[in-house]
Amino acid sequence: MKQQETIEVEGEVGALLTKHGMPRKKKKMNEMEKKGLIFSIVVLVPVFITFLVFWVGVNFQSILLAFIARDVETGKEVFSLYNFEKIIIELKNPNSALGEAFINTMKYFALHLVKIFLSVIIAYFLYKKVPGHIFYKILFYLPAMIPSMVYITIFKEIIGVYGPIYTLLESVFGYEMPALFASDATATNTILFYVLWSGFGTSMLVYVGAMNRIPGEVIDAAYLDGCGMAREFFQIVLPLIWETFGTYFLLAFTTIFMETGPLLYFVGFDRSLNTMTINYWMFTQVYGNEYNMPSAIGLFFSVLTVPFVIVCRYLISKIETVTY
Amino acid sequence: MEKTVKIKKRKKVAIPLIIASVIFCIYGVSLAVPILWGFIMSLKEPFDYFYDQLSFPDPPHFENYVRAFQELSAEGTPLLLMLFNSIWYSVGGTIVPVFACMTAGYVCAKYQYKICRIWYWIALVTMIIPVMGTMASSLKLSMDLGFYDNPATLVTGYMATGSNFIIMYAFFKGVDWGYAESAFIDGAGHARVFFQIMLPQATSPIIAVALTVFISKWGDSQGPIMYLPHWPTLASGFFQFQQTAGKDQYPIMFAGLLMSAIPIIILYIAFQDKLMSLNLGGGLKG
Repeated sequence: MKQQETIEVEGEVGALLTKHGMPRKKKKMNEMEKKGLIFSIVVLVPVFITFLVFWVGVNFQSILLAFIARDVETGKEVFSLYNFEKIIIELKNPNSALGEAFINTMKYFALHLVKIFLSVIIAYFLYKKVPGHIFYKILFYLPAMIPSMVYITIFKEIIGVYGPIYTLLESVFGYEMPALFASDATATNTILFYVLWSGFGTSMLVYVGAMNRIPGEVIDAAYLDGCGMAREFFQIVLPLIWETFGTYFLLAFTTIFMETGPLLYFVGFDRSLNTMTINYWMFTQVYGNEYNMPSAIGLFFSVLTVPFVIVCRYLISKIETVTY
Repeated sequence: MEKTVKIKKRKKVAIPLIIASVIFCIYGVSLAVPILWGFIMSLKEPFDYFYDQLSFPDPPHFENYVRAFQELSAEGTPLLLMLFNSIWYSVGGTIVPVFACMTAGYVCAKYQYKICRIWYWIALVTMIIPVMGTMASSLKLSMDLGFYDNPATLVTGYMATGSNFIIMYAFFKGVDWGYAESAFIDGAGHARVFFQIMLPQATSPIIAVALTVFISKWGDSQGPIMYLPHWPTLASGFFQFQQTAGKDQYPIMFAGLLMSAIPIIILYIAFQDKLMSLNLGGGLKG
């Protein structure tokens, strides 16, 4: 702990001057502190190198790619704002591929927020040890545990034409279920339903873990004071797990345009249905060897998201967290 | 007095909990039924599945699980090789980032040198500021560096950022430094303190983080499709197989798919308690 204090003092401007305003002599590091610095450097240098190459380098190249477009007349690649102009034109048209991808992305985002709230409610009941809670924890984590490929392939077969649900509805009610992946509206809604239905696993476990760390005495004291479950949840549990909750909330904003959903397994590279999200649209473009437009879209939406994230982070930090 | 309190407590919370339990039961069954249905269908005769997806197989064709190894392939890669690819992709793809996050998380939490603080803020900023659309440039860079379609691409995952870094940082921040000071007095070095004193205390969050990364890598097909097209894993291989498979091949495909989930289920059963130690709280505060 001693070394931590020493370095921290050196880092402060005020600490470099004595009370008479004279420059203070820098405190020399002792042998142990030097070794600690070497250890930190050995650990962090490879991390810095990969960061510089695969984050800074990649992002720098991505920015360059975003401003490159092919000249129609000469066929040569030129620096221009063409990609960004095209993005704005496409976004203005809700029927364009990008416009529809944007609308779908917003639907995923809204669903993501719903999932955050539902996860915390489910976690609360599991934390309160609802009858069968151990069994439910395993069941609810199934979709996160079993690879999406497995789950989605089976799910698609179950809801498909002549699948078990179709056959049951037809034989019992005489109702012929429509092919859910035959129209844009039902296809997207089916995928959204799947995302919600299967999406509580990991976050639910994290919330339960956070709730389990709440001191039992706090809950006991609240109970003795006549606190009901709703009040306990909103006024005790939620504030005490606010950091975890807030982090998930912030991550939802950070990843707002990064949502690909399980589209690869549901629709593959089929573009006849308007089920794309912005990020999945970029994936299919890059897979088809188109690099400039996806980079431009990435840059455009990254810049667009920053203010939202900053405001959201500010608002979350304004809510007082309780330490225990 | 204690007895009275207990009885009252049970009566008061029983109704909401029972309602929740009923809802959870319906929801839980809806999650389990598809897997059960998939298993039953995996035992069907291929043409029997084509005509009837509601009845039980008669007799059950357990040999479909053997046939899966013989008949399933993606672009000429048999199931066994896909399994091997999945193992190195998932194990390597877990060890590399988890090691980076746990070492960097430790030094940033426990040492106050400038380099540590700089990295902490870099990790935080890259987590908070969204950057997207870098797929094209990272693919280009992979090609330029010779990582494309090469297992060496796993090196690119040596990143100590994101929620895994925050989890490790938050955990080590809470570990008492007194243990280390005692070890220093006894002559231990910094590396020894980390590996022999701090690391054993962090097994729960490390296993939890490693398990979540492993599960995501095992089920990841976008990564292998994009960066390792000639090294199909189970996830990417099944995706490719599914694109061309006829309905009559589905029972065998279900058999293969369900077998691919077995390693994850075993890991989850073994380490489910550790998953509860995932804690994001405190890490973002600095």
